[in-house]
Amino acid sequence: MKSRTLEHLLSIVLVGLLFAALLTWYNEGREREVSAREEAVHPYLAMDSVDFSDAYHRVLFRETVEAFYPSRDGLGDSLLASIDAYRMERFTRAEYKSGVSNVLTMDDLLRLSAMYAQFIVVFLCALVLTSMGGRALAIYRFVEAKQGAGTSGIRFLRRLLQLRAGSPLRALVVVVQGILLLAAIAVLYSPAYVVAYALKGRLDLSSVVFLLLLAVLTNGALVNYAARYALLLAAASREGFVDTAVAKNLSTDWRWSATSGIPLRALLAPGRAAPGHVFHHIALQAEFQHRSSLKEHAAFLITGLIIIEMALNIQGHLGYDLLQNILYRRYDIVAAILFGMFLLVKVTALIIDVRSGREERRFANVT
Amino acid sequence: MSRERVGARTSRVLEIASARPDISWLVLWIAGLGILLLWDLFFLNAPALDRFINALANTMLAGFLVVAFSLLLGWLSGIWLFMTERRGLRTGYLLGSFLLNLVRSVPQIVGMLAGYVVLTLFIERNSGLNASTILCWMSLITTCVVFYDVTDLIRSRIAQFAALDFYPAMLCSGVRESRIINIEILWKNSRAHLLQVMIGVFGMAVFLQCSIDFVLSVGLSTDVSATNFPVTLGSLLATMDSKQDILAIGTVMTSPGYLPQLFTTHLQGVSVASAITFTLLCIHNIGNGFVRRHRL
Repeated sequence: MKSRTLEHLLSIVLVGLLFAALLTWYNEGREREVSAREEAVHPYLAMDSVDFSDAYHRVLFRETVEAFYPSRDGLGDSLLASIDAYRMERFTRAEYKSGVSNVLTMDDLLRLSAMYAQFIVVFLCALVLTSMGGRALAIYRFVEAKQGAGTSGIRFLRRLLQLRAGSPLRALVVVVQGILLLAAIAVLYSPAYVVAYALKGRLDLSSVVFLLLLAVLTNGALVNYAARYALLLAAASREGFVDTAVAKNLSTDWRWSATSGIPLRALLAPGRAAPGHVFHHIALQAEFQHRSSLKEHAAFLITGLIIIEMALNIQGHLGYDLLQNILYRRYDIVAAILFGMFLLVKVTALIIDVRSGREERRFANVT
Repeated sequence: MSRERVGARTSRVLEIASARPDISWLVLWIAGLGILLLWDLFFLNAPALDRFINALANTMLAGFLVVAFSLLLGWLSGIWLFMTERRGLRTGYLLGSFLLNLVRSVPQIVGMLAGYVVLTLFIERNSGLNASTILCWMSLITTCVVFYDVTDLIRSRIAQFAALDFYPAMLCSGVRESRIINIEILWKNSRAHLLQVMIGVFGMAVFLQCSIDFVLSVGLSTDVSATNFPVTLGSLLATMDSKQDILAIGTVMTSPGYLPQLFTTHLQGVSVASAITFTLLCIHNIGNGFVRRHRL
């Protein structure tokens, strides 16, 4: 456990140092490049009598330079090209246009911190909601499978087949159910930007609640989590301890809310809801095995959130700011944002590892 | 044919579908994309159809390239970690494991974004790069953020077998270690596991590729934009036409009578969005079905 914690901390320190070194190297190189170019063109730009936008003055300038340096062919042309490039950049480069320096300032850090705090809050809410929702969905599907009911799609098709002529109301109900099922599947598996653009103009896309809903329901986050958990439940149900539990007369009644069955609250608290049922032990085993894969889920959620923020182009969000700063080549801010995200993944992984380590020790009876 | 017989046959088909869910979803995926293409052939204008087919082909090709690259990289890194640990090469093992954990800690989309920045700079300096080369580079970038799933699987499979008598027994019989690992453990006893991870990698590659291409529609540089990259479903979805088409999906919620027009007037965006979503749905279910059928 200690080695894992140490590894996380070490990688945070090393990556932090790497970012700092890269940034210093980039900034120094850039400053050198800019000052060398400015030094080369400044003396000429300081000549008030020459107007570089005037064709006559340009020819005069080139011929004068060539007369002064007859041994250096083409110096006049290359100087004019450098002067033109410099003057052009005064209009096109973001830092010249906005008048802001290209170094990370305190204001930048404060602005980023506010966005980062919002990002963390949304991420934590999404993590809790997807893990609870995904787990409930997985348990529901697992219990339904144990009841022999089949998947929702198969059940719907069976219901469709059982329709008889002369029952229009039932047919309508089945059709509506089918449409709702299709819509739910479309939302759950769609990338967030498809859903967001479909709803553009009807909802406030910049609201945090909408962002959270997209993060939880789309990108396959919920269904992927549910599928992984369901597979663990299925694998745990095939283990030998289940036979032992059955031999010890634990309940195997898979009906919902029956006296010896599974209470509905097991969907939210599987480890506590049905102590006399074999499901209790299956759920405990699945929960224990699932802990470590929570790290992957957390990283995937962060990826999803960044995609949503970037794709929706909402100002004031970290993902949007990251993309804009890449575009304007403000790599100091880009590095700060990237390091913040790396830190979030690492801290989440560290917390999950510490919790899993404790659980492992408890299961192994190590104090 | 009587209604009962039709019902019985359909029930039989559903039973087979339940028994082999991965195969059923694979058939459904291919059939679904086929029907979509057939519909587009009749109702989508020729230039848009060309773009759509091109984007679909590029996205699928990129997905398969990612799978191939991931298998190669994952296999090599998995064996590297196992061998360095087994032979007590502590520096090599720590370095490999540290790098792997580092890659794992970078959100995938951020890793891809960084890769695309480098690729953009590369394209700026080498304007003669053709579309296939750029597609390979794009796949390689995606590989760098997804391959560790293969590494993890390979490591766990080798570790599982190395803990059994099987491993030392084969060594005693004079079988080379490389043969035990590559042939006996990974090829003969882990193909199903590898295939399952490959399916997951393909799904993730399609999702990430489409997402990054959609996001980068604004461009990473003033000299290079998404138009310099080969068209994929994500970049086609990011075009103004497709965005307008997707907006029309929202209109259906308030005016359901508008629904038929989605499948004729707004076909480009709807086709692209459907292809992405349907592919992700099918790949997810193929993977799950495969795990269930083989009890992995």
